[in-house]
Amino acid sequence: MAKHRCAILDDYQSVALKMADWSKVASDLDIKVFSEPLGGSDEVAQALEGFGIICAMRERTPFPRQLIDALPDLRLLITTGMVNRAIDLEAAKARNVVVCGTPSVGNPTTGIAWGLILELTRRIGFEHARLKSGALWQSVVGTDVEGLTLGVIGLGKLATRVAEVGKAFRMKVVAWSQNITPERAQAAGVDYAASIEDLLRQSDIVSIHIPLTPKSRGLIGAKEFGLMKPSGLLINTSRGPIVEEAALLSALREGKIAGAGFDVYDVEPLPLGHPLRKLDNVVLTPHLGYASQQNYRAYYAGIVDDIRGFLDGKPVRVLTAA
Amino acid sequence: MPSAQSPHRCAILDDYQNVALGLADWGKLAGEVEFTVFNAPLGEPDEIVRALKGFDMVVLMRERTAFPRRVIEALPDLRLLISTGKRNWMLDVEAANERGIVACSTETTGNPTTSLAIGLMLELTRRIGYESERLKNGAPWQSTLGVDVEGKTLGLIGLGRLGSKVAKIAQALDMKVIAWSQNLTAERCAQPGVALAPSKEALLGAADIVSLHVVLSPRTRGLIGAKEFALMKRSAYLVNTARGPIVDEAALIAALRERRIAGAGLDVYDIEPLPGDHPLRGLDNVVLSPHLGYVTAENFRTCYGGVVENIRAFLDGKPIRLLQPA
Repeated sequence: MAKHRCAILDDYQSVALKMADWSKVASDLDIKVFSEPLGGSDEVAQALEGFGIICAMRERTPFPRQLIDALPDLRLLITTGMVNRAIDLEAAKARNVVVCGTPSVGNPTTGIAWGLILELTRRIGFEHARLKSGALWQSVVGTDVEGLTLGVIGLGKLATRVAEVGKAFRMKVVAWSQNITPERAQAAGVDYAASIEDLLRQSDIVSIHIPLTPKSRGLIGAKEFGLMKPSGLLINTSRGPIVEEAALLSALREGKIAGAGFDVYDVEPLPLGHPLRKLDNVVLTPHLGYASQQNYRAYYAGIVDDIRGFLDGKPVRVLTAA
Repeated sequence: MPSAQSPHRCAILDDYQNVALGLADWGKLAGEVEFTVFNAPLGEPDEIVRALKGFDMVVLMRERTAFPRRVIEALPDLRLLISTGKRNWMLDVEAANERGIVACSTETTGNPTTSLAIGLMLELTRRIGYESERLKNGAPWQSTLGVDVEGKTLGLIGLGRLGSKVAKIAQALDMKVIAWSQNLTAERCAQPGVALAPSKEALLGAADIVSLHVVLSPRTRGLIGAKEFALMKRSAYLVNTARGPIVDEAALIAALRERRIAGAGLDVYDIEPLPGDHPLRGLDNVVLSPHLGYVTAENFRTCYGGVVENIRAFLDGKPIRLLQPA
């Protein structure tokens, strides 16, 4: 019997085949690993022609209807994690493509959000790079987060964890989102901000922890930057379009805020000529929130199980349109 | 002694960021004290003595410049010696007092070393600053697959004020925290909810990250050496924000070179500033910060504010915050 052609996408760190035991499915598959982004949707369709199984890493490569319709051989589409807003589940269903998810482990985005805060306030990586390139000694005077106010937008699992760390640092923590109530804030042990304006005005550090939805798209724009303290810092480890990128660039250039720590962008990978790369009051990470060894082991082991289940006619962790 | 007409001469040492005069109200001493600020390290004892000749007041920033007996005795004009922070193991208070020199300390604000220790842990495990530098230098995208600290074990050597704070933050990051020091008891561990490791060896064998929070003393000098590195996991990281000599530097470099541990995050060194050709600067499994633990604007305001108060009190004949001999 012919082997199933299986594409593993966006394995930027070239770790996919090492992170799981593929022997359960290896003899059934002809695997091709793509370590670079495939590009625009035409290029994606061309590269993936003829593959019956496609394994996507989170939302790195979107699968809209147009792409799914352009891949007639596709039978199984796997995303890492159990939610992927970049896959059109209706379109997949219409073409009889099975879509499966995988487990994930921990809350690794917490470490990135806090790492961005500490890099902005204490500049450890920056000073490290200086020392490594021959600088004699200190150049910065940092800011201690103790006693400052952390404003979290959202109060889900990640926001709550980021808030807990803030409290352990003896920060004051306030929270706001479109559906937080004073009761929920109290239960989480944080102060309730009555409005986004209220949160932005009183926070020294604002960290975003809500999903991208039509309601949250562009939530932070020019008006919102105008409300923040000139010493304020904005952290975004959620999704790029929640912040209006043009407004962010002006706020950073004009000193309306002191700095920003970003892990997510409108276009990913962040284009080489992108103006954010040129600013000195930003810390930029390449969407590392979910990239931990523990998480990748869970993802790729899940992928192997998903493929085995599908080949045995018993697909597992099937994702369907809400 | 300067007369009423000729003001006191005060040297402010090691103001590397050139911020001292902007962070306190020195105007209160105008006319009485004339300040000279030194922005670079002064160097060896002979050079220090030469540079500070004729000053009757010297302000030290923490332990950046050592003031041993030899230096103190070579500065006959010195009357007031102020060290920022509450203690200074590089200052010989006894030698100062023998020469009639008043030695004072200042208060500090916050616990800024806490965030430096956590920052070093996150930089070692997630490489945020490293990836940011890469992106700014034109790298297309990701290179790091980090280790999530959640579920990992943090081993704290020392559970005093800083150790306890680091413990709380690690617990909020969902780490398991264990602690040990020569005089740590299970009772002291109970409040921060930390497990007491039965021995240093047990702690080193169990921890994924080891962080040092003890003071430098004859008992802690060389506390972590070749034998200790051999007990650590190969995947483990060492974080030192306490004092350089607590770790045997030669043994550390060997352990890092031979990959007996995964990496080290260091804010303190045997010799500071870290010499330009120091082998640590050439390793790829270290994160090095230039002793930034106490370096925050908030803390510096408190330190220099205290210096102004100390000088005022000294001039008024009622010196405050006297340092005790070790």
